[in-house]
Amino acid sequence: MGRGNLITLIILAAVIIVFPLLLRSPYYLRVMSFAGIFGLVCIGLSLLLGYAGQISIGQAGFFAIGAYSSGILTVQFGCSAWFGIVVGIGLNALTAFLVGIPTLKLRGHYLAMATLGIGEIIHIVLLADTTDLTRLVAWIGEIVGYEPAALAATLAPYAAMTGGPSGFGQIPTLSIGPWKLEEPGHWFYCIWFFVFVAMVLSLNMIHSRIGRGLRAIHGNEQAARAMGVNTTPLKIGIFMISACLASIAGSLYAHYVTFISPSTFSINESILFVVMVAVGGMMNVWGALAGAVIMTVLPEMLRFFHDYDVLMYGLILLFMMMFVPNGVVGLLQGLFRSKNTERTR
Amino acid sequence: MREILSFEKIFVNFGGVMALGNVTGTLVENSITAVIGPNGAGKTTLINVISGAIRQSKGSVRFNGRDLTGLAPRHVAAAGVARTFQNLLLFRHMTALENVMVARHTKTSSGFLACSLKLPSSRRDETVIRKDAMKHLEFVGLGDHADIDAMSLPFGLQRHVEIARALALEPKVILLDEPAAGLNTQETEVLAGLIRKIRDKGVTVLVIEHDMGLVMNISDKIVVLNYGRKIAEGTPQQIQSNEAVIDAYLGRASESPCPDLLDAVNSDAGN
Repeated sequence: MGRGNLITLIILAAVIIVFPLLLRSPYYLRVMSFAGIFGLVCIGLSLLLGYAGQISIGQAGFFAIGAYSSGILTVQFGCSAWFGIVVGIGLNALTAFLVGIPTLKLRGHYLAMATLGIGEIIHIVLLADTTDLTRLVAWIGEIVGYEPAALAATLAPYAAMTGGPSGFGQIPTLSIGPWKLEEPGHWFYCIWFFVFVAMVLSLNMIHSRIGRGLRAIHGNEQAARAMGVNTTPLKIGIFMISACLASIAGSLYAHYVTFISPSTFSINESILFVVMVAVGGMMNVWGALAGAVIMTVLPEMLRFFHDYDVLMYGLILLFMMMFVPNGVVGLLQGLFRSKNTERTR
Repeated sequence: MREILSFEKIFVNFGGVMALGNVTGTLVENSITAVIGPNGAGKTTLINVISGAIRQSKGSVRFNGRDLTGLAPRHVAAAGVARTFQNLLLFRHMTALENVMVARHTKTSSGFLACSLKLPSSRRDETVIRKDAMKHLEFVGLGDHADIDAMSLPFGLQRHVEIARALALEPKVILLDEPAAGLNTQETEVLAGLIRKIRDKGVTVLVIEHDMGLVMNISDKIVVLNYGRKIAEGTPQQIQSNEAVIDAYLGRASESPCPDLLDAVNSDAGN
């Protein structure tokens, strides 16, 4: 990790500590907490997009797996919230592994297609209500030759666990040891602590042999292979990490909002994550964080566009791709550098 | 005079077109072997076969007593056969040093967890990688350019970064695909010195080149390909007076003479 990153990390830590002390308004803390949750997803996505050159249009699906794992395990089974988070991570790692194996062996953007599909499948599964499930059970029962009614009876307690299209609520808040996270400030610190740790770990990884291997794959896959880089496991690994970060974010979201429903985890959300990373700057994890904050705060300021939010995201993405391809952070870095070179001249 | 790498009866077909037909040859340890021939003679295909980038339809490649046939490029690289590319395949958005550091990947092993947590093993790897890469960059004379974005270096220096990157694999054999393409006379001279230096350090060199001056100057042995077949093999003196080679280059025997090689031969005669 370079000196620049270290300084920026210290600034980030200072801002995280000071923010709730200066702005005591629960509204600001709430907005910034969401920005942190989305920031976690975006850090993962930017590792995948900016460093491995692979795109995922299904991050909302991984986000959902995390949220529902936490939600269902705590509400239905009374498990500890942390256990739910760990299970979510495990499920997501497994899903990403299974999706990654066939798609990441190939060169090119097959992952985008596969994640588009998996995100949609997860969304549909979450939307399924009790009647859909009964129908599915009957269908499976007919195939395997088992009495559908008996099978349905066995599965009945689990049938409505996701709550179908209306979702479910009363998810308990997180507690760290004896402390329960109740005030907006607590949540802000908790969420941004995760963001900070994710940032440190990501920066460490980027500036290591693994990160260099990934950047080499992005730079030129053929040359990377010729230099002895084992490309497939690296790509699968980074994809799993991005899914796990989305999972943690999903779990935090579930415990923070205490209510989850499928509408939060649609394809629009997946696209929003990509927009966030693009706005901030694809070649940089800092960009991902900046993008998440900008794209969470901006809609709050542009409330009157509310019904046209998807249109706005599309326009912003188009504008960024055409005029600011390196994102906000890339633009700032560029300005900073050109100023520096002018001075040295 | 030990053979370090040999390829035997290599056949490669691209959709019915024979790129290589029954090509056999050997590299003697610590020597420079040049492969020449008109455009489309199958020179790059030969390097691609040896390095595992494409698979031959028939024939075998042996390296240091080991069969390389059918190995993936990264295994060939790890075994000790490194290559450069004709059309410069440097890694974008990475400095010259980082480009070379990538090639130390196979020599280290810290994984995702060790690297994210910056465990002692990963820190150790990082120091060693940086030191080794720097050594190879200095070897090609680019020690002062370590922290410059590789793609923003002058073309001639980019070639050197690529050679340093290949050398950082610490190979026994290096395959150079047209290293002098796009270089001026002065740069080519520097390159000739570098290739000799590589040989002297104990790395066997196979070089594909169109620059006849360079080839005649540095090669211990020359292999001539034409239309995918080997038409001659010998020392520079033997090749210069070989009838079949002169025919191929001047176009007497071939139907389509190759103007740039004609020039190359003429300019060499002028030297």
